[in-house]
Amino acid sequence: MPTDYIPVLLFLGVTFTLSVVAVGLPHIPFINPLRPNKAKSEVVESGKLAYGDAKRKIPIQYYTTAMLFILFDIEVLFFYPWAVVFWELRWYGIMAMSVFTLLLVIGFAYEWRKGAMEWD
Amino acid sequence: MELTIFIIVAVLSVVSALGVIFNKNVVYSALFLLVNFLTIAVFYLMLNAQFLGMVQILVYAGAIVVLILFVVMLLGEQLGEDISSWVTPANGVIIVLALILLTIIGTAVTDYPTTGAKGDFTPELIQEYGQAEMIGVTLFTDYLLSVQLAGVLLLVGIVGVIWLARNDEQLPATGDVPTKEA
Amino acid sequence: MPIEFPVLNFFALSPIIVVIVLALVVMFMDMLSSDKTVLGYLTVFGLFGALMPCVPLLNQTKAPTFQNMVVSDGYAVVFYIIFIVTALLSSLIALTYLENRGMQQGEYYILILLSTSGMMLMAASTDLIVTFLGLEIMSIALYVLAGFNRRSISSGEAGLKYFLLGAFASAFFLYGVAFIYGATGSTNIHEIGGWFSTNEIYQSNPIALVGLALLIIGFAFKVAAVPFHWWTPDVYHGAPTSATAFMAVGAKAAGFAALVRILAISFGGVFTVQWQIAISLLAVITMTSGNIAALAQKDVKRMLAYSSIAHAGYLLVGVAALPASNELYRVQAVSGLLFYLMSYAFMNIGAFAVVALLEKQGKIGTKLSDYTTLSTRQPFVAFVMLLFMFSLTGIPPFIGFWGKWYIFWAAVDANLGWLAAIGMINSAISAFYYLSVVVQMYMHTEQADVETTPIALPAPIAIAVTVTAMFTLLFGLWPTPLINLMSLAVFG
Repeated sequence: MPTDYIPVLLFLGVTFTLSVVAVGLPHIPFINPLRPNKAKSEVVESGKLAYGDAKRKIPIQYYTTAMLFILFDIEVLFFYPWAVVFWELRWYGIMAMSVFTLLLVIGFAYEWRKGAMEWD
Repeated sequence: MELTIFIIVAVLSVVSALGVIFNKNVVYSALFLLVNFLTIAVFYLMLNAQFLGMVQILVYAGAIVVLILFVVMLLGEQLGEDISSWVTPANGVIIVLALILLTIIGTAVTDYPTTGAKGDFTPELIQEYGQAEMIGVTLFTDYLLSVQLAGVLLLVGIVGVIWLARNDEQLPATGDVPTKEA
Repeated sequence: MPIEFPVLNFFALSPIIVVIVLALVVMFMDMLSSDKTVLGYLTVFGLFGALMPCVPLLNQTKAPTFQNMVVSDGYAVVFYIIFIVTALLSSLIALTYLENRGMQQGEYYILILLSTSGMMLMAASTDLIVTFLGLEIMSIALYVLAGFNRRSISSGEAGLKYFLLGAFASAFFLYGVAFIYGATGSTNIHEIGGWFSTNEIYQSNPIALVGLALLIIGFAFKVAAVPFHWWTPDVYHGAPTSATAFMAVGAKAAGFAALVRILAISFGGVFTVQWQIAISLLAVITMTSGNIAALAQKDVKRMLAYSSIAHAGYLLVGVAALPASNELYRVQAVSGLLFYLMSYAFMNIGAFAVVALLEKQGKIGTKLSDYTTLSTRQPFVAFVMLLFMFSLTGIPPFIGFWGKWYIFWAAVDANLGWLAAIGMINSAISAFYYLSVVVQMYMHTEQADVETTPIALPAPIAIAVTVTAMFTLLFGLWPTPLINLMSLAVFG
């Protein structure tokens, strides 16, 4: 029923309003008068001095990690419907899930052994 | 009420899809794609497919968009072309063909009923036991083989990623270096 | 909620399970051992093991198992044999080919095995969801195999091109499945057929027709039929030759396995006129343009890629013969297709084995002119290449002749005589480019700058070419046992 989602809609509305306020307030001159100087317009990154360009290529390891994250994310999707009927499926369900998990655990071990998660 | 929500979300969906195509900045395209995925999740919710809606948000909005953003970062630079460079005779033919296909499919879907047989899982049954439960039972009885095959498919993906994304220094140094022949 | 636990017949799927478990064993061995050649031999011997359960399966009762998801009927088992033989022979080629290029890696054999399991599932599947999963398991492994040589630009191009167009084709297939599900309410191919026969008023529902058209387009991509063939020459040429041999035969056979089963069972009684015309037209343009493009090639590997397009065309002739007037003719068409695929596996893998052998020697490439004087440098290899070229042309008494014979007869019996005639004309055209290889090997020995150093023949590839040449000749002279095996291949 769509009416069941009214709390979600309200929540979305509150989130949206808050973000508009948070982003919009600094743009009102009365609250935030603009007096720029050199130090103000510099990049602030955890107190470190900024270097280089933000638009630079990143190492492929990030990509590998993201890719493997997706694969295991999809794996979790199969765990969820299994978990909610865990008792009803009994040993049959455990056996079925064991086979599925075994396939991915072997994949995980292989990935580890092959150094796909090494960062050097 | 339902129709109003549908119209709002549908417009948002089409606009965001166009935004993906017509943006010169690839990062903006990826973010428009995120909006598009979210609107599709809303469609699933409106069709009473809550589980699918959540899956859509988790996998597509959560993981796939992150992956796409990584690719954008990996390639660096601006990839977008000027939209004026799209106007070529070949693209014109493609657009005409796509429109013909769209018309055929659209006519088939709107003029003729989807006449399929109804399955065992009625809305009442789903109401009684819950959707995730029903999906769990179906997945692990009737579609057990598909679940296991999905595991094999993920395994193929893992092995493929390990080989393709491996650092070049880790490759064995023997062998010739074949290049593309003219 | 009461749950009925299904009864699972694991034995019916034992060849597939053996192949998947073998892949896991190879993964384990890859983690433990640093000698990767062992993995190749393990793959080869393990695949022999996977052939074993096929024999009892051929005589077993054929009921769908795993909740009507798959069936190991004679049709599926014969395809299991084709795929296992393909994987086995191409692994033998890979043992030599990868070694010489410094790419002997466990991943290669794991992907070959998993891809084989996907192909086998496509043959066994009676449910479009399982067909799709099999298609994806097969394809994703093949994308990586095509781009396996990471130091070669053309291999990378092959992998990327295959991936982009293959993903596109999978989307077409899936879209078609969605439409068919919308029209019939089922993904089970028997239930789809049953729905059409019990609900006659819906037989002309264009939603199902759109679905069928998209489905055929998806498969046409996978089997490299014109006009969905643009990826084929670059992918087959850029991929490592051992992988090309595997995908040229395996992916094509798997595509036909699933296509024939779906067309015969789900759409055997509905839209037959439409899909027969569509498949016939595809067959004509595929045969003709494949052969004509192959005529212009100066590179043997690329020529074989175009020739594989032409062979997809001949096979489509067999598919077009499926809606024959009586059951006997239908069985004839199916067994003809299977015979052709089996013969294609032997002769094509043999030809690619020769290409792989010569390519690896460093000095000699894949160009046609590189084959000059092969008859003096390596007489045995030149001789078997001659056998494969004759067989691919369809000259009797080689196995390729009988494949064409059965397929064209099936077309004539299905009142498609014109299609068979076009097929025969095309076979005649193909003689030009196949025989030009033979001419290069045997007739151009009198040139001044003749290279005479003998070419070494490593053991694994020698076994591969000997076995394929033997079968090409043996079953060419005496095709009865093979055609008897194929006649067992009826749907369950």
